[in-house]
Order: sequence, then C-alpha cells, then structure tokens
Amino acid sequence: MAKISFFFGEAFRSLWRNYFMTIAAVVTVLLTMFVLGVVMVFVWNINAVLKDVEQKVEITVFLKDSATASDIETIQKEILGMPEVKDSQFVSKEQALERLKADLKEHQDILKDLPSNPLPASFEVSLKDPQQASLVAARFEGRSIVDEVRFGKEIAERIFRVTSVIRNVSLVFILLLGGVAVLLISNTIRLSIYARRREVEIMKLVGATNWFIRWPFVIEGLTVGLSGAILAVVMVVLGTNFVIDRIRENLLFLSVPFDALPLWQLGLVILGVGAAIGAIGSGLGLRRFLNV
Amino acid sequence: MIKFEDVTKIYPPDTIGLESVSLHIEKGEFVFLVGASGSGKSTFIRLLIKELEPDRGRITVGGRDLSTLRRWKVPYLRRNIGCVFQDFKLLPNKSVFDNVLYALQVTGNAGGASRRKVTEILGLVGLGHKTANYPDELSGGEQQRVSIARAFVNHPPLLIADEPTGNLDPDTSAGIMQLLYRINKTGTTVVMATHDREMVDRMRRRVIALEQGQVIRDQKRGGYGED
Ligand SMILES: Nc1ncnc2c1ncn2[C@@H]1O[C@H](COP(=O)(O)OP(=O)(O)OP(=O)(O)O)[C@@H](O)[C@H]1O
Ligand SMILES: [Mg+2]
Repeated sequence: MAKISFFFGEAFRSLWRNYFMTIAAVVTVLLTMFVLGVVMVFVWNINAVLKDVEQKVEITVFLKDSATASDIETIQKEILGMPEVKDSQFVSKEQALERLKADLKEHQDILKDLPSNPLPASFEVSLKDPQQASLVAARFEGRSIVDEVRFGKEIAERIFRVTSVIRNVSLVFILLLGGVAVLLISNTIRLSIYARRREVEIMKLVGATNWFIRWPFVIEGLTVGLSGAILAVVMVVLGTNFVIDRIRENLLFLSVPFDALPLWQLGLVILGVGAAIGAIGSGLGLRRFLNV
Repeated sequence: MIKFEDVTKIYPPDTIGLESVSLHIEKGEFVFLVGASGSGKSTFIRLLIKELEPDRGRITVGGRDLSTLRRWKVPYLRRNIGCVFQDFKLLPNKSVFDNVLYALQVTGNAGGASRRKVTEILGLVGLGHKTANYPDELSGGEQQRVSIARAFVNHPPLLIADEPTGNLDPDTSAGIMQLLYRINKTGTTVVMATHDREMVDRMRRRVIALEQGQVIRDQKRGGYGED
C-alpha cells in the first residue's frame, strides 16, 4: 500500500516537474487519437450505409394464380421456418394492384380498363444475412405453385463485391492509422525517457529493482495516455454531434442511421487504446536503459 | 569481504582496464586504492558492483560469486554496497532528503523509522539545515556529503568511494575523510580510490597501488608513493 502511493507520488511529481514533456506527450496522444476517432466514426457510418444497401437485397417469390389459400399458408409457414429468413411479407394480388396505383399516382387512369387483375401474389422475403440470397432463392425454384423467383442476382453480387472492398480498405486504413499512432506516441515516450536515462542509471546503481523504477514510468504513461484519450473522445463526440446536426438540417433526405452510432463504445475503445499505448510504451521504452 | 582472483577487464577493442588482479580485502579493513589517472581504479569499483563484467577471473563479494549472480539479484547486491561516486550521481529532481530516503525506499522501507534515519544521517554529515534543497543548489562538497549519507544510510557492510575528495578543498576533504573514518569504525569495510597523496600518507592504512591495470604494490600500512 505504502509502495503504491510512493509509485503514484513519484509519477505525478515527475509529470509536474517535466511539465513541458508531459504537455507534448498529451498533445501527441490527443491528436493521434482524435484522427483515429474521426476515421472510426466515418468508417462506422460508411458501414451503416453499406448495411442499409445490403438489406435492400430481398427475394420476391411470385405465385401462380392457381395457388389456393392453403397452399399459401403452407409455404408461408415453410418460409418463416427457414433459419436464414428474417421476415416474410405476403402480398396478395389486390395489395399488389393497390401498390401499383400508389406508385403511378396521377397516371393511374391507365389501370381503369383492365378486365381483371394481372398482377401475381407474392412473398417478399428479407434475410438475416443478405449474402445467402441465392441459396434461399434456389429452394423455391420449380415448385408447382411458384411462378418465378427474383432477387436481382447480378446486382446483389455486385453490391456485395463493392461493399466488401470498401470494408477491407477501411479496415486496413484504421490498422495503418493505429500503427502510426502507436509509433508516434511511443516515440514521444522514448524521447522523454531518454532525457531521464541518467536518473534511471542512478536508481539502478543505488539498488532499485527494474520494477521499482518501471512502475512510476508506467503510471506516468498511463496518465498521459488516458488524459490525451479523454480529450480526444470529448473532441470526437462534440465534433460528431456538430457535424450530424448540420447534416440533419441540410440533407433531410439522407437516410443514414446516425443515431445508432455507439459513441460511448467508440470512446471506450479510444480510452483503452490510449491508456494501453501509454502504459506499455513507457514500460517497454525503459527496457533499454535498465540494463546497467 | 572482497576477493579478486586473476581478474582481467579489457574495454573493446583493446584498452586494458584491469589485468590479472588478485587480492583479498578483509571485513572491517580501510583500503586506499591509488594510482595515476587511467590506472584502473574506477574499473575496479565498477566490477565490484557488477556494473561491468570481467573478461577473465572471479570476483567474490561477501561470499557471493558475482559471475554466477543472476541479473535480477544485482539490486540486492548493490543495497549491501554503499557507493560514493566521483560525480555524486544524485537524482536532480529530488531534494537532499528524498535522495537519501530513496536508498531506503528501494529496499521497501519508507515509514517513520526511515525518515528518522535520514534526518539523523544528514545531521551527521552536517547537512541538517539543507534537507529541503535540491542538488543543484548545493556546493560540490555538500553534494558529496549527500552522496555519502545516501551510501551509508542503510548501514551496508561495505562502502566504496571513488575519489570522494576529488575536487574539494583540503578542509572539506579532511571532513569527508573524518566521516569515512568514523564509518569504518562502526565495522564497515571501506574501499576508497583517491589521488590525495597527503591524506593517504597521513592515514597510514592499507594501500593498493595500480598501474596500467595491474597491482604494483599492496602494503599493510603504506603511503601514497613508494616508502
Ligand atoms: N567505458 C570505457 N570504454 C573504454 N575504455 C575505458 C572505459 N572506461 C575506462 N576506460 C579505460 O580504461 C582504463 C582505466 O580506466 P579507469 O576509469 O578505471 O581509470 P581510473 O584509475 O579510475 O582513472 P581516474 O583516476 O582518472 O578516474 C583507462 O585507460 C580508460 O581510458
Ligand atoms: Mg576513476
């Protein structure tokens, strides 16, 4: 207990006495974590848009007019029983016509003279994982009451190709940026340790163990990493809210699900990364000077 | 207490630090290590605290063979060897009091008893009134006394001083010698490297003379030069 308070005392005294280094290190963490945070917000939003696009891949199963009510009920049950299916909506011939009328708006006169309803009844099946569309669609092919199965195979596959490229690129980008952040921060730490290498040497000559010397440095690194990260989180949250408000005001038609953005999770990630880089960076940066 | 058996230290590529040194220092002895600049005195001391490794030979301190001493145990060796360095080696960011206290803190002692010990030893070296000052606010002699207080606050069985009077005036040097003399009286073995001819001649203690890394003289009650 006495030791722990000693280590914290040492750490904070040194942060205070080397305040210039402390500020430089906090600012480094703040800037790198802020950039990382902003990029993560962007990637998260891009991802949300991509998911939205992917969800539009639906299977439509058109039924023949000969299908009876009991046929429809059986197939409805079967569809809902499939593990890949999220939801299924039955659209009767009448509903299909209503929809068409709604879509046509003022031009709906052209439907007036129809002798009978030409539109087929259908099931609109949405999937938990849209990538499985062709697998599920294949199950309906060739049924006696099924007229046609449609899911925009070509378009769906193209969408998935594009989204996966975008996802991989942004992942690589985040990893690269994270790597740069680690390098920058650990370099700052190494500089501040280098400035104090003689102190470390003296401590060793007086009989301090490596961990006795290391703990205050680790606590210092943790403090710097955490303070920089907290400031970065505050800036990212404020900045994001500001930008979202502007977008809401000016681009009302955009259907991006901003609200679902888990800012507090992002904050935790940034705090964790900042604290870990600070603490581990200090601990490792010291290694070279402990071999006296 | 200290045993050197045929110890050789070469600094790469080929500078001789020590060459085939064999000697034995008993518990409670007071030993002067003399010799010209570059003769190997500091090398001898740095080998003793395992700051350097010998290229050949065996060093035993307090019954422990340093060549088989594991790295992580070195701090425990150093706590038993008080060291006074030529350049003081005080921590610049700590007050006089905290510098001395640090030697106790590394051993896990930081309570009231330790603080009393620090106050007591700083009084003993005549710095009771400067405990709150920082090293850069002290004169060379005062810094040297802080460094002696730090080396001795643990009451280690062995005290090593590398030219503790190196750049001090004669009166201050005499004061520091007095201090080391008193420390030796408590039973502590003292090894002191020095250039101070007068001091060595006056004290008439054991003298080990080095020249180019070799022991050229080892006298029970010697002087600085040849008698
Ligand atoms: N780190 C080092 N690297 C290379 N050579 C060194 C190193 N330290 C000492 N030497 C050399 O080893 C020899 C012995 O040096 P040492 O420091 O032991 O001398 P010394 O007797 O303490 O001298 P002084 O009285 O000037 O302090 C010298 O020739 C010196 O140049
Ligand atoms: Mg020397």
